[in-house]
Amino acid sequence: MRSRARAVLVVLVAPALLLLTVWAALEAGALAPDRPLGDVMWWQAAAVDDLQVLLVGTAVVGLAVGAVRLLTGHRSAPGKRELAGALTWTWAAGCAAYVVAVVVSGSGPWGPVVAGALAGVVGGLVGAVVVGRAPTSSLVAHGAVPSDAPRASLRVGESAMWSGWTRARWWVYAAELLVAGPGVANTVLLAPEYGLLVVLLVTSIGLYLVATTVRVSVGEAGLVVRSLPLGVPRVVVPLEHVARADVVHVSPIADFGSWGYVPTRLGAVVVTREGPALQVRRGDGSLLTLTVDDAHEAAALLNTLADRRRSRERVAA
Amino acid sequence: MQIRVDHASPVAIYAQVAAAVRREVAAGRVRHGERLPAARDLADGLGVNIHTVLKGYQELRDEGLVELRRGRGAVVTARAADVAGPRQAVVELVEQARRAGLGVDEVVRMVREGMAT
Repeated sequence: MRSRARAVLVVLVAPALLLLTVWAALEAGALAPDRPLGDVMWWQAAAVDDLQVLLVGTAVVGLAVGAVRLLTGHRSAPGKRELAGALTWTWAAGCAAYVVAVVVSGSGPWGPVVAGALAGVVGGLVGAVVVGRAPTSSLVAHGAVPSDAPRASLRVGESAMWSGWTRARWWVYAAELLVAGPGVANTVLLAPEYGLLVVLLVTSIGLYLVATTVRVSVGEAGLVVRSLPLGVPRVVVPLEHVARADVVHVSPIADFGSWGYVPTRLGAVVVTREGPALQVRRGDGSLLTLTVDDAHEAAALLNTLADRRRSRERVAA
Repeated sequence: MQIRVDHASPVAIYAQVAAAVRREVAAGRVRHGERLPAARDLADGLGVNIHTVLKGYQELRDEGLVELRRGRGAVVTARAADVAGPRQAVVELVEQARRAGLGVDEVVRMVREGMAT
């Protein structure tokens, strides 16, 4: 319970306090612009009140998003806390930095926007780290892997490693490129005032595609899921946590109402196409589902390795 | 793709890694432009030393089956699909020849005769 309290503190309370502090500084005049803000922010006749509304709005939306991520989905979904911490800290740090930069620097809209973006990125990274990890003792699986789960024929003295991707069909990536190129070019040329919105939209779709194209491997380290391009964030299900691995048939919209990363009540899902998926059940019953090709090979190997690891532990004990 | 090594085999682990990759490439399960697992991931996954894996990857690079690029790792080349099968056949031919005590000249003569038909 202590670690859950810490997560709530970091994810919800700390960002709220940051935004409240900036709001109070504006209210008390400690942060006071020395010239009209109209030519600094995008809209005319802006005032300190507008900045305060921005802070409150960010607090409400950002914290709501973080609270939803933290409090829904499966209790032990990996990366849940880190993601929630990153979300709320990105919003809070970005907004706070933007507001302070607008008031203090008195320069055009782009300086504070850049300051806000940088602060958001740094804040998000710090938030993900500071939130702390959820306890993992309940994830350990006990007993042998059930006999109806797929198995690989691995001889004594053999090691094996399986590697695959959660790739979407080629036309998904092609569609993004087709939309991105002309869409961005048209907007920048014909309606530059909307340029930022379109660029953000297209970039975030692209980033989401990248984020959901992950590298999956099965081996002595268990199931390892690594994101492009930096390899982090990554999710690991060590062999000790594997209760069983299976192949299930999934369909993005029909089963989950969404494409890509879906945090369900039972666990996280990365579904990039319809068809066979690798599904791993941990000791606490939580699931991790990934649409990889050759899922049966992956499941069979994971079960066999988990079994081996547990029988080694039984012998050692 | 799947890579298996047998610790009990007299064949060195790095050679087994290279052989496994050649088989996957020859079978078309890994294609031109695709990346092999990062050396560290493969080493962790198999429970072997990373240098063993790197040696195997370097052998594949010397054969022209992969390109080793900084930051991207080992990427399968365009020639690989054609070359992988024959390369692996050569590895097995050499193993058999050594076991039978055949010399280089005799093996080369066999290959020439085979290709002349």
